[in-house]
Amino acid sequence: VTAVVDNPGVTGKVMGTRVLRVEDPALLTGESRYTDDIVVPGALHVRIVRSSVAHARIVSIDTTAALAEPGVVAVVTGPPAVINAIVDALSHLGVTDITMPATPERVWATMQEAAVTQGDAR
Amino acid sequence: MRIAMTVNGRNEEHEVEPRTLLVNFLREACALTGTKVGCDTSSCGACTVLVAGESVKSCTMLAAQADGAAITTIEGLAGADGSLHPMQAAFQENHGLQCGFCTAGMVMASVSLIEEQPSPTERDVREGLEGNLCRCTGYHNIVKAVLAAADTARASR
Repeated sequence: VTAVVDNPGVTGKVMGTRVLRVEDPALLTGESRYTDDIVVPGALHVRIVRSSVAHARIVSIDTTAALAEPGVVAVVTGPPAVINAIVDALSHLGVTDITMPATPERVWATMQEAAVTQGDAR
Repeated sequence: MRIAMTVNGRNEEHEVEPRTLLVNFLREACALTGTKVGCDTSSCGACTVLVAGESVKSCTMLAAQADGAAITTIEGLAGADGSLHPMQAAFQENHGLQCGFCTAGMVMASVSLIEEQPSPTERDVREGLEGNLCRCTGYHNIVKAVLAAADTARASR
């Protein structure tokens, strides 16, 4: 991505020659596009709400106020997102759901059940 | 609320929320995305524009505060024929940019800097640009570019 310029007396040689980057004019005039500059019609914006304390156990998350805000389409809290990820990861075993809380033991049991079910089907 | 200002010589009048920041007015209402939002907290200077000729971090100013003002953004620097402004040319010539994200702010702050100090020393440039962060270049070539542009500006005077 470079263009050869200023080549006094060194005809045909690139090594040791000063070059100017060809991408610079767009970057210098504001024409280049970064992700945040791209307008996607109908795009939804995600806002991540982090814990207000450094170390704590989440007992419950009340999403009613957030959902009541105008323009809010969905509020995704940790548990549903984690459950979705686990179910997605195990879907090739035939897992379609997992009961809360998704402890390692429960995940293991769900995988075994799915495996047995698949075995029975054969 | 209705806000009107002259941006790069063009009249821009838009209905926006009162809390709209100048940078969002420029990027969203005027669709001038050359001005960047880097930190949103006026630390990085990526959003620097000229308000009545003075450099301002546009994420720190409400659009309402700029109502009626004349604004210059990075899009307004180059000539109508596309020729680079001497500061933009100096940045390219001296390799004062890599990824380009800080560049709009750097260039706008530098234009204002040499307007105020036509003969800056290297130290003046470093101090003048302390409010603009660059994660790529290590600043040396940016400083070289600004000093070179200052020389060019004085020579053409």
